[in-house]
Amino acid sequence: MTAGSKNSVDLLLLGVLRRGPAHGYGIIAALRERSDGEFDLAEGTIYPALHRLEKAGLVESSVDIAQGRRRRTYALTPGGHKEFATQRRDWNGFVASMQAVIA
Amino acid sequence: MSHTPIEDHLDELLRRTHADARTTRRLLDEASDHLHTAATEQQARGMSRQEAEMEAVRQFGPVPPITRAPVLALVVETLRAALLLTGCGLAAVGISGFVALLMNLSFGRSFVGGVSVFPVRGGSVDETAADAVVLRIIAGLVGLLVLLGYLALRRRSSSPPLLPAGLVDALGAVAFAAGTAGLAIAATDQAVQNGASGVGFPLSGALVTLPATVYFCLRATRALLASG
Repeated sequence: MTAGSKNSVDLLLLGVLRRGPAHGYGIIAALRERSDGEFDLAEGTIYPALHRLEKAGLVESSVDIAQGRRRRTYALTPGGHKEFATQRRDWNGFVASMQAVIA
Repeated sequence: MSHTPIEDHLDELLRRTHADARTTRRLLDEASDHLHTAATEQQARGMSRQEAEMEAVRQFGPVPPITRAPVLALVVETLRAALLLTGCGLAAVGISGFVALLMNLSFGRSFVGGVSVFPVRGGSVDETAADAVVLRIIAGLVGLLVLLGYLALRRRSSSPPLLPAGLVDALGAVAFAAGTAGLAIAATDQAVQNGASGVGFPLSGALVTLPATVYFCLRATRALLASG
């Protein structure tokens, strides 16, 4: 995974979680649904990204029991909200610049 | 123990996860919840449980993206595998020295030490026949020391295997098979050129490498079958 694609995945995950806490499968489902199936990632790849974001203090997780299984739910921290706002601004600037060139 | 696609995938994940115990448990918890949730959803759409689990595993993707073996651990395991194969090879040379000794006693010294197709040896029949025994047995003793080193290293390691199941055994089988083929060809060539004289030199090696080839083939097959 390149640094660019890693940042993109992080931004997507932060984008899903800013709407509310979700567990891994819920995040994948939301990504797929909101992108009309465009972001159909190998589902296992989001867990290392979530662990990385948690280590960076951008998300936090808690465990509960659902259907007899341990389920970990992720939520954005205040720092995660800030980081999302920063990354979204950067992304929008990048897209605007691209548009200006290719339009 | 049931063998369902999800359980098999979780087993594979556990085998390939090289992290501390807590991270490993967390990863398995998350993967298990994810896969079962996905399979239940697929089942609700009309798939059989088996199909639903296979689809959930497919969408989850391969194991490697989740974990990566530490490079140092991989290097250590590769070196350990090299020690095992080197030790087995030298031990086989040592055993072939005993076979050569038996041949010397049974068929006379010229069977092993006679005129050879190998160009490097220039000694007398007696000298060659003796060298085929002594030097090989010394090599075998060195092989035993190497194998002891391998066992000591293996005993100290508690991490799960990093190399694919059966790989080292398959490499051993290939190496011994190549050795057997080479020695058999040399023995045949020797017999054609010089009759019985000197045939024992390569033949004593081939008689050891052949069962070693079979042994490593069986081990590789068993490892591959066990890994599913």
